[in-house]
Amino acid sequence: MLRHVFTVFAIGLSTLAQRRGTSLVIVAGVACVVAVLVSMLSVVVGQTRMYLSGGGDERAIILPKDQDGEFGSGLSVDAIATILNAPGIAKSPDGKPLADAEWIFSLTPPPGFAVRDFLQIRGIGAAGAALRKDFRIESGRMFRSGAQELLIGAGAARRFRVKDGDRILMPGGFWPIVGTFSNGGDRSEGEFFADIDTLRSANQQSGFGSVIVKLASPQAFDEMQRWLTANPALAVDSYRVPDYQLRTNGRRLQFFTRASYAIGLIMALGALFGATKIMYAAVRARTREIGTLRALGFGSTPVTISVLLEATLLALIGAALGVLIAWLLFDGREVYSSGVFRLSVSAPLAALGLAWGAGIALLGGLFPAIRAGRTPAATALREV
Amino acid sequence: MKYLPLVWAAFRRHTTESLLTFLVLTIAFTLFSSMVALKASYDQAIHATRMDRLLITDRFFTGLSIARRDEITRIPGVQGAAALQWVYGFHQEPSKRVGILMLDQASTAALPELRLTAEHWKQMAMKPTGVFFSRTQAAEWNVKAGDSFVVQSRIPREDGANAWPFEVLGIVDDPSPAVDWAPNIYGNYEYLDAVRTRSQRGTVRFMVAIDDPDKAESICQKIDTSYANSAAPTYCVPLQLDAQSILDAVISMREMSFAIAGAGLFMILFLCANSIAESVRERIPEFAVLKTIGFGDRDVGVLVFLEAALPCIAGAVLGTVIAASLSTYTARLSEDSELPLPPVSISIWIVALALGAALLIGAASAALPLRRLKTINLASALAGR
Repeated sequence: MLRHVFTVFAIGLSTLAQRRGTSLVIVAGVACVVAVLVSMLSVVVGQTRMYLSGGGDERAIILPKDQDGEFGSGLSVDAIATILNAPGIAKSPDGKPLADAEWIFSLTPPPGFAVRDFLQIRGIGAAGAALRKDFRIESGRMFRSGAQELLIGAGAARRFRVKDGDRILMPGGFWPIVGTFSNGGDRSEGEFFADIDTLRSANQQSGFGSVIVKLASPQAFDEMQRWLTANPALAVDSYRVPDYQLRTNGRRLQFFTRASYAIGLIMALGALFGATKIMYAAVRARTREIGTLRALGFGSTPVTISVLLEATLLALIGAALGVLIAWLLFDGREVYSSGVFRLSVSAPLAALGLAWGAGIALLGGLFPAIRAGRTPAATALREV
Repeated sequence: MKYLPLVWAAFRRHTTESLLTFLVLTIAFTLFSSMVALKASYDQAIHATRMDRLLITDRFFTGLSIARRDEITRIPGVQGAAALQWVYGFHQEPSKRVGILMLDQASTAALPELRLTAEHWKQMAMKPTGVFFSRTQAAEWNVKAGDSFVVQSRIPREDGANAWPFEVLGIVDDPSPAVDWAPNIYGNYEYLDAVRTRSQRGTVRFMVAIDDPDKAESICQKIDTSYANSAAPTYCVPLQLDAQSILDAVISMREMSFAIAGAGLFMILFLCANSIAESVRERIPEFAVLKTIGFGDRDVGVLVFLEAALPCIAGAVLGTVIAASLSTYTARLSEDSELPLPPVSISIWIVALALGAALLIGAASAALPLRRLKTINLASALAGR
């Protein structure tokens, strides 16, 4: 049986060259569908990677209750002191909790900037750098405590086309950029860092927007959360950092995923009908060949399967081409959308593209394959 | 017209396959028209915003003093400056977000698009908590004159409360041209200023009307420069550029829509070209007969072109009709936009674009088979060789 399938399939392949044009239709159609689907989803994959990178699973974030993000200053100095007593927070060698109270300030586009978008300036404290395990100064130096200086994320530096030594109009005058940092490709690379106390006093802010803590262990989170929720002196919410990132940005990601699949499905439907048409034409062109095979004793199942195999092979070539196009055009391309990240045509995404193509071929080739299998030898041979 | 029976006969030759091709064409054009319409909707949203209205906010969120209104009004090119604040929050439940634009009578004068009259202001002076709804907003919130309308807002009040009680004084015409930078519910700035925390009092943003949209950026620059060294530097942006930068700041369906439309067309180009090439190849003897009985190259050319283009045109028409009926679903693809977008609609321009694309695909598909037909050897073609 299996040998029969391969024999019929091989004969089909040998005549493929004569049907170059028709085969190309399936390859090109599936390539278009897969290229569009994979390109769109590369945004979702890249963005999700940004949210989940930077060793976030070891960190938790604590926000004022019912607040959507880190903006605002709803955490008082007293509240911070209480939060730092929570169990489950990792300690530094000198016994201090590894936690950082931070405040984010959204700066209007500075005059003369090429890109008209708001800058996110994050005030971090003494533990801020130590908490971020991938944090590195790529060039220049760390800002000095108490000085009106800025550190710029590598992504923000590329996006806003600014570099060490440039000065930015901030509250209290022009603040120089003294260094560039990277942080394992996480979201903060699209931000600026400054000394928390200097930033808050320049903005006349008394509170903090969030507390970021390093967990003693990933399991310690539940204990800390219970303690924080039960404490009557506090009104806060706590999240693991990746959960928080996906929570605040999940809606857009979900939306984009849904839109990608919706468009991928519509295009797939087109390619599917196209494949059906092409395979019907192919079966018609091969009526004599198939009739002869049937007369020689090949069963209808090997014929059916071989037609499906042919459609699948063509679609897989198309899908691989589509993935390749998406990869060449978009993989690694840096984009800016709620942060700075790189589009990613990952291996699972490529596999999804191939599966999508194979699905189109199997569904589209089904009816032509059944027709081929049912071709009675006598009728087919009469066409000779 | 005389070609139609021949084209129909060619279509019926392999009915299933012809129908499948038509189905693919229809799907591709549904996608094409939807995507082009979606892109148009984004562009329209930007285009609808004005270049002759400048929004001035405080660069560092310190608040701008209302006293600057006179200075700004004196800048050459400025027609008027409106001092504004927003009371944002929700009505009844957190998901029902609402904002009220708080302004004074002088500000209304600077923005003639707002349909507030002296009579309305007289009523607002009598009743400081009074608000006027635009027709659209009144319908959306289902309010009428005399209703009370409470907004829960985080804007700090001196009395510490979160609730802002308002009373609906009446309904006014929608602004014309349309205003999408503010909620079209209008309240009295004096009331806001009287009840908010003392430290916030007297701080506003400005909406500036200028006489020449081309000077928008230079006027903005002038304003920002003149306040650069003050305690509260300004950030001035023409509304249109603001809308543009909001859309530019995130990846949205806007960038992708044209590429998707193009991919859809590319997909059918091969299918069409292949179908017509195959159909011509199978019927070489028929074409030879036509040529023998006096059909010229031009006639055969028209016939093949029609055979290729008519299904494309029919697919384009049907696809665009389907796209029009699906436009509410297409609009959902733009839900990630932070800008209010006009509804996605299929304009004459989009129909023309789809038809143009259909003709192009038809012509491109017919080109190769036609070259082949021109060079056939009549005698051997008639003999079926």
